[in-house]
Amino acid sequence: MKSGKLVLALALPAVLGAAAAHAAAPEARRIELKSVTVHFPKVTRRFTHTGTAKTSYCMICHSTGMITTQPPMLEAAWKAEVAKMKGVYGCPVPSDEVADQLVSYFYALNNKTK
Amino acid sequence: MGYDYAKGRVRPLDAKRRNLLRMTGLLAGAGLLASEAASAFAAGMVELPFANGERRMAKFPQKGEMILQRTRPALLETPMHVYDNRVFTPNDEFFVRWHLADIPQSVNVDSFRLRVHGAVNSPLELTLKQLINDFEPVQVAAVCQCSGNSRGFFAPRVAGGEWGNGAMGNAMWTGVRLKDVLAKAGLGAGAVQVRFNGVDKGVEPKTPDFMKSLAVDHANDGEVMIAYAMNGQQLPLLNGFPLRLVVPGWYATYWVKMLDDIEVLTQPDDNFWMKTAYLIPDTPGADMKPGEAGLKMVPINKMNTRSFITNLHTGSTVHVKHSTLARGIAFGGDAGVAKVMFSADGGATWQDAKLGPDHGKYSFRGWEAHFTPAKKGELALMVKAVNTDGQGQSDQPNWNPAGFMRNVIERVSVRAV
Repeated sequence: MKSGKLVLALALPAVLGAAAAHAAAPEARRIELKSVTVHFPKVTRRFTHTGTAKTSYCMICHSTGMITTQPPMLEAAWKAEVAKMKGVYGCPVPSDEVADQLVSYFYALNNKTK
Repeated sequence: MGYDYAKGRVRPLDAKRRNLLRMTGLLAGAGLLASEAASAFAAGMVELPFANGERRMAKFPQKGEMILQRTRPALLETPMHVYDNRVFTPNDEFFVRWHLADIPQSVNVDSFRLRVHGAVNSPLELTLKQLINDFEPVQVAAVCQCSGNSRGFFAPRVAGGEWGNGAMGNAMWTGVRLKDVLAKAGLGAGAVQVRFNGVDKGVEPKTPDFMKSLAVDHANDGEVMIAYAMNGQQLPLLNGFPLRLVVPGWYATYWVKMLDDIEVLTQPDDNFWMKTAYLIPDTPGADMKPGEAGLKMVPINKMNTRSFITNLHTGSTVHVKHSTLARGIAFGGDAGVAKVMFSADGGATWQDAKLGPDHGKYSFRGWEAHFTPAKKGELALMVKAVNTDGQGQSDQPNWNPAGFMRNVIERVSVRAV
């Protein structure tokens, strides 16, 4: 991995007083802007005991927290969420039957955690 | 199975690739990742004060311990104590919010390019060096706040990122004026909006790419900035390294991260993230009744006024007949803070708080007040601010189906002993 660096002119944050909201940054000093490589934490959690619900479709884009942090919601609200993921965001849920299974599973899970 | 960090998905690792990894010593790297993942979740738990509010604390790359709302794509909330006794939020505790899961985990500062194209006279492809050296550096202290900050407090509850109050932060941003970059490209005839796109994208090809647009006049107001530093340092990758749009006074949805593409449009932007998502009812305070239909919906825009108590929280203990300090932060949305008022009796009486140093109209402003509990028992502490345009905070919380723009007067309940 090549570690590129470049130098930029950077203002000291402390110089801004009570004056204009947007100020030129005259008192510049030089710092290095460095290339970055990070590793996001691995997604390890999976939904368990899902029955027939194919939650792997959800895991294409999301960790489980997307679901488990939601407030108590009606089944109709879960239906709307799954429909949005399928219709708007292009989640490849193959059929309405699979979508309904996901709705039932998430609705049950969501009520169990409250 | 191996985890493909570039694509962000699990895929089979064939034998040939395994051997290659072994030979190049990258499996040692993989071991490091595993321990990093373990340490990311080793810390404690926190309970946000609403139903299903239990969250883990986690440490992500370049970030300190934050409230984990979602691992992928990352949603990290700033704990309230971070805002206490300071107005600039540290970079490593600044909230994180991504929409789409395909986020690069490497950014090379030599090869990164910012493209400016569309209805312009001369399309540009700027290196970071050019952006930094060829344009005048400017700086602004400005609050970046998620449209849905505090969504978890909405009643009735709504789906989304279930934030407490920590999806906001204030930083000293350093960068160049968007106006100057647009002038170098030269706006073409018929330019009406400027659209911003970052490197991140959806994992599924059909997922609408995350893009936001501003009217040309707004883009050219001299305040909208392409920032390459926050609080004197390069941005953490999760906060948008290397470039982030800064739109002072407007919600964070417009502050496009990892900005690499600016397109000047001759028609109003009808992409999903402008036309369908991030809409608010065109009513005072973006307020409506659950189930109310037929309201005109418009793209979310300017922030409203808010204020918080940061040194005391619900459950804190104070002492009878002792002068007690309350302090916190306030911000006026797209205007400065004119006044902050504090009440130690549930809003029956109010006193003017003393304001801290003014870092400009878009910044957090510190405030403090003293109160002396007269008798034992519960005390409702409240704070409210008014901005320089006369906009205050509402007595009753607003409601809309997306959970946007909460600015009700905050209240914490402490116990005098």
